[in-house]
Amino acid sequence: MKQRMVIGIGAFVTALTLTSAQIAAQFGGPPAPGAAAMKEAASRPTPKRPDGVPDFTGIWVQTRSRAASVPAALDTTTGSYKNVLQGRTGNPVDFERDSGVSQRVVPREARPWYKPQYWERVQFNDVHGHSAKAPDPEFLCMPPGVPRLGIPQEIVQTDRHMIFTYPLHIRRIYIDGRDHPPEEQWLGTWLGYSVGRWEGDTLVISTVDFNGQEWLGWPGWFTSPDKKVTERMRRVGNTLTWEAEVSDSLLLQPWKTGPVTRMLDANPRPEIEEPLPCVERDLQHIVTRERG
Amino acid sequence: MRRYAAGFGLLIVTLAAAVPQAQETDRARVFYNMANSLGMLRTVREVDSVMTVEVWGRGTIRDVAANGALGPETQVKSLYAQFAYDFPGMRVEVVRTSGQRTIEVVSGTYAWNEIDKLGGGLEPGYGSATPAMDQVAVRLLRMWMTPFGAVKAARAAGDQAKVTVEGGRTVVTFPLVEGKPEQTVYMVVGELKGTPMKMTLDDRYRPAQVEVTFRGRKYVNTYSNYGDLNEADLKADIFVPAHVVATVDGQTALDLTIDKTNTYNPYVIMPVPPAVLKTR
Repeated sequence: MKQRMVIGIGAFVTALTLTSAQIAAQFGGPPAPGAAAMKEAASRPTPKRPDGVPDFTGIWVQTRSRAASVPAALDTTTGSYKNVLQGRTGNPVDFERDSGVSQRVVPREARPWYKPQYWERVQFNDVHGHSAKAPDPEFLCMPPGVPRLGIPQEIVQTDRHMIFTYPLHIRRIYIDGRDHPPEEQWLGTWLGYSVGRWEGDTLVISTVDFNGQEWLGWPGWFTSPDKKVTERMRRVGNTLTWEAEVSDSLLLQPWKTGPVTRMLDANPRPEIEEPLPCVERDLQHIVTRERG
Repeated sequence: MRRYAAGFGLLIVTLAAAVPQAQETDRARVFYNMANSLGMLRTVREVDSVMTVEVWGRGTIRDVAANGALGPETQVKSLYAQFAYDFPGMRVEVVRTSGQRTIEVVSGTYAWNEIDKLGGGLEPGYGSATPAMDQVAVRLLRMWMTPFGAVKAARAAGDQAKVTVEGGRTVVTFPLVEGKPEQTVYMVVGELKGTPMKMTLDDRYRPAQVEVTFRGRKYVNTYSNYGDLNEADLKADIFVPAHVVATVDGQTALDLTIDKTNTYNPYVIMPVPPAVLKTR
């Protein structure tokens, strides 16, 4: 969240210093990765490793253009981005409230269905997520956990394991046929212990051994150390699709998230910028429960 | 002096802009105004973003039977209601001054009463649920007659909605239409399908009165004293009537003072308990 805020402020400041033509060229002009680009990427041959399994190695980038992400925010005639941070009335308070309301619009099937004895705790977490009473661990710069991390930014694959990198985080997925460690050896970790196996061309990752401090999502969706996560990843041409299913003793039924599809970075010499460090400095200054 | 006159003129223009005159008959503008006046349209895209709401209140209530018949009036010590317009469903917990506690739920085309606990019957050993399938239509009606529900229902009716002016007030009349599960606001109306709803708006385009005649009985809800009733440090600029009066055939079924709300799309779900699912 804090990172998003920093990025948002950065984009806002950058936008103010650009001319409308520059902005249009950067965000409004072609080529905008979208459905056509996805279709083309998916039509490419899927590279395989010597042992015959798909090769996931590469940097996987978002398939939506910036322009597609914030179409109403940019006035290409003026280059104005003021609404990005300020909400529809131009008032920063409204930005917080708009964002707080809209971020909680989650379709019923996309909400984890907690057992009723945990409803009050979810509600409490939700309204106190930016206070010391029930802080969202991600707000405190703790690891988001799995599957909140989402689809990896970069994958490095060997015959024995895969390295998933995310901004600020890294996971190892063992694909050498091992099982999870026995439960008595579990450590209780943020990202869990992950083993993968191939079902045809789909990589199925099973992850256990969590600490129960990580949340599934921003609106107070807490978890327990019983959480088990199954991720399914499939490469088709130069696209990678990820989805996950969570089972937890807190839930009435497994919770699913995704699918999310990304494209391989087509740059022959791609790079990833160093992410900004996450440093929590806001908690003591927050005086309301509004958060967006 | 000129500066004073200019300031005065500006004041009049500002006041005129701030208090919209509710005599608009353009359907699209009325749809926008009524959702906007309740604070439903959020972000720069101005999409309907009010999906779940919690309400706390007190007052008097009379039970409404499936056929609309009213029971005796009782004092409500506390009322807690959850609305989930995307499920769609409603859960109303009423504690009467006598100590009697009831929890009534409708979710889609299922209705039941929860015993002992909110969510009773979903988990073995955690309360229980008693099917109340004959209450589905009446409870769905109550949900879609709420201010947010009625505005959503009118917008869902689209071209079938008619906008007129009666006594200087804008009136929106429309049939209740059935929606689709993939829509964010899932209009489930069941037996109410095609039933006309009449919504009279106040001078800020907020629902002041909602009327429906169903199974030969006239249901009228009156809403007043709108405000952001969230707690002081949780304001959302979403507006809810602080006073609600519901009548059936002219007799008061509910007179409710709303003390507090959470309009930040709180966590609210209404899965149908297994024992209730079995009834169909």
